[in-house]
Amino acid sequence: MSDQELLEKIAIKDEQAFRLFVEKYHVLVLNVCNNILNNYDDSMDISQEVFIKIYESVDKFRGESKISTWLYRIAVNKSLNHLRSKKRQKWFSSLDTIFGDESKKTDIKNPDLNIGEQIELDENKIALQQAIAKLPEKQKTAITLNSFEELPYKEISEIMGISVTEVGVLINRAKKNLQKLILDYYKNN
Amino acid sequence: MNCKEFKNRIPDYLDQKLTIDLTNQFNEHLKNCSDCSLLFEKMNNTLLLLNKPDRISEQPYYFTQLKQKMENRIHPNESFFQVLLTKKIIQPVLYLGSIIIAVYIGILIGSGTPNTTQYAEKTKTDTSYIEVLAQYQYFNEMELESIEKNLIKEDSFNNNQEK
Ligand SMILES: [Zn+2]
Repeated sequence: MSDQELLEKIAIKDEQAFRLFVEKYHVLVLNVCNNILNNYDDSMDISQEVFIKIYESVDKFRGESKISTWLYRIAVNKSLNHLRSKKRQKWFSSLDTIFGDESKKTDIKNPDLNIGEQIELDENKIALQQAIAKLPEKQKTAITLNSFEELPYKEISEIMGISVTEVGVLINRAKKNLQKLILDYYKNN
Repeated sequence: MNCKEFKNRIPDYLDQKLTIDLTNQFNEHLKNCSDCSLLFEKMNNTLLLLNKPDRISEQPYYFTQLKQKMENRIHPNESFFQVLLTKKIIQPVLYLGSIIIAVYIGILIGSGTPNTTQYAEKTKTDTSYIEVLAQYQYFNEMELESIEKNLIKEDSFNNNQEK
């Protein structure tokens, strides 16, 4: 069954088609989320949100772009949104510590220290993950799609809705910043 | 080139932006300083990881978990109203109610104490309270009587059944 046929069946809420679709694409979506979130549990959670979104809005997909582009875009957006809400949580939790409410503190994990369970705790990886976590959103998205997903600039530009030139600029900046951040990491550790 | 200078030049070195002279100085320090060469090696190895990311492999129960999650969301309104009802309405009403009752009891106790002294003073002269008391007793007897009647009724009913 082709992707287009699968999507047509998902549109009429065919569960078997949805299952096939999820089985085919969950590794891709899961990894895109994990590149940005750098946390296995969060990536499982957010990648499932991606598929729920697809199940609910499959009729909005017009086939102008590749299905993978559409999936990448939703996965990136959901992951960035999650990071933003986590930042807000972190901000409130820092308020809580200032005002002495320690009860909520345990719920909020430090994103800098969040490493997927299956990822080996190797110093180089931690250094890279912490550095990527500190990049601005757009640089982070561009560099992870380019380096980890090995996507060409053209597809990244479609996913992010920016020009190919802008993608190039973002990736160069990201690489420069990573060098500095990784250097800082080793200087301090 | 000292250690601090060396570290600051690493990014430019990696970008091949150093002059030939500085590149030579950089390489010289790299050869002779074990701390800096270790740092440089770690940095290079870390940057190389960009090209070989860790991949999460296929998850056997992914769809089952996803389906469970979707099913849990089928009745979001119901749970929302339940939360609204218990947390936002019933709980405060109960709290408010118990506060009102507590305050009311407090007022009763507060206003009750002077009354009893008044009452005690009254007993010395006034005997009208006896009539009130008698009324209450009568009332209680009525109640007792009605219960007794019921008991009797039940007995007779049982007796009738036995016959
Ligand atoms: Zn040195």
